[in-house]
Amino acid sequence: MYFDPGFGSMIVQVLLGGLAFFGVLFATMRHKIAALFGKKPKEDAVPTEADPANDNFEQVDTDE
Amino acid sequence: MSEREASSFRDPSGFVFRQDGKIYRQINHVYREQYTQLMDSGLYKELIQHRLMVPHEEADIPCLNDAGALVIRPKEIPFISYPYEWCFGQYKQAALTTLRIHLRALNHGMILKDANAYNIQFLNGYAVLVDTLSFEPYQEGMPWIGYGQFCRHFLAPLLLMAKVDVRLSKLMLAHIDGIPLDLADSILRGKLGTFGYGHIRLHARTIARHSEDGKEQANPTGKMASVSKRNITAMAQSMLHFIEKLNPKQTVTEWGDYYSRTNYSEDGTKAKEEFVTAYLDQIDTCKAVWDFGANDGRYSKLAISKGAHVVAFDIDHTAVERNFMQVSKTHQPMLPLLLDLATPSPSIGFANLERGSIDQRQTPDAILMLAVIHHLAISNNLPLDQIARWLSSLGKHLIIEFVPKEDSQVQILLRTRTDIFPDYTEPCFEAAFEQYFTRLEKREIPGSKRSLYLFRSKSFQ
Repeated sequence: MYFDPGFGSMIVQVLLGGLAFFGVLFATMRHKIAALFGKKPKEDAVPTEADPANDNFEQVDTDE
Repeated sequence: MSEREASSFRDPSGFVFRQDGKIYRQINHVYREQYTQLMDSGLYKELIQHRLMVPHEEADIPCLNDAGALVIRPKEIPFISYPYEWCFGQYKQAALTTLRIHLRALNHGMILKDANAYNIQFLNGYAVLVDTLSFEPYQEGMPWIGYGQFCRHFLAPLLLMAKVDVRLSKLMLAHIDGIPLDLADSILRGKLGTFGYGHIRLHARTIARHSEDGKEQANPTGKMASVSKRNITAMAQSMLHFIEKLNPKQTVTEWGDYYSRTNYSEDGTKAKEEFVTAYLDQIDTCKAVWDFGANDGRYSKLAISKGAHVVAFDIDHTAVERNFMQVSKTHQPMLPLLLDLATPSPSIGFANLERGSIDQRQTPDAILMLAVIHHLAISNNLPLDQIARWLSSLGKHLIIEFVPKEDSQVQILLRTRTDIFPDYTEPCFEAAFEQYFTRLEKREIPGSKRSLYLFRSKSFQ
């Protein structure tokens, strides 16, 4: 049997996206309340992944 | 002379080709606008700064056909690897890169249109997106089209590896578009957890329940379900947090004495390192090296110090994991990968051309094969001349250690099997290899009965 899985994936996103939003909202509120009592918030959700080392990463032409 | 990459045919936005030994990507007119948005929105710059995407420059060469708008030249990935060759840490890094790109794209008014594990490659320890054509402009309400693919290509394999067995990444070999979610669900039974329940089981069941929806005339416009940007972002963030914390039960943390048990005296080890270094010096061009049975990467590092990029293959998941942990800190030109020499990765996909076998991806200048031959010849019953023939077809030079029967490591192997290997001797080894190779050097390793050879393959003369 062949079917397009796209529809199911879309529907499940509507549900899980909503749930995730309330999860994030809840976590944010908890952090805010914790901050009132002097607790430091955790790192940003998208942390910095870069390594500051000079790794020639951005150099495209490596022939020379 | 231009040659299109065999795996680059699915996307109408453009394709990858090779010309005069360099890799290029043609961007077609249909994708010009999206490419401009990627570059002008600041997204590209941000992704490069954070080591999430392969850098490129616009190339001053003509397009290969009328559909083309421009050609870019991406930084070359030294060795293309596939998900079924990654250790857990690599797989996890690839998934995190995909989610981080997705979140950053949303911040710049774009969305990642696919979440294909094959679009992620490793560049000196960084997991980077190599498909520059993966972005679409984001419109409020549109769902993440790549979500289903993300679950099949990343979430299902990672959950299977973490909760059941790390070897289950090999399921990706049988399912080129990712592990079917119902299959993952049936293997993960009882181990899904709340997160897995939503993204795997509920997802799989919803797909099955709505499998006929596409045929209904009630939806002739193909209208998509609406999901707010707020919710898409929250879902990606929750997946990012979950995967960051996901680890197999027996997590590898650091090098202990796991691989320090060798069969050598200190002098023997030192001599072996000196011999390998001397042999590497004799090879004119030594830019690409494969290390079969790399263990802790000790000899790979010798080749790196000579300016080579090394693919450090090992059958042992822990060895690959530890090497990857090191490379992701040092960013040395090394790619640790899982490989069983008795069953190397085959070519798979449409027409068996999409994902190449290891020999189709690169011809190394040298192969290191130290303390491995006895595993192939004795543990796997592979005849010496067939091993020699295969190795000679792969690379230009071979640095190989012969481990004789008298060696205690071979004695351990022979303890549990009948000795049906009368030809496993040094003269037979030399005779077998000299059919396919020219011997350049042989040295005996002090304090052992082992010998180290430098061969040049007759296939590349």
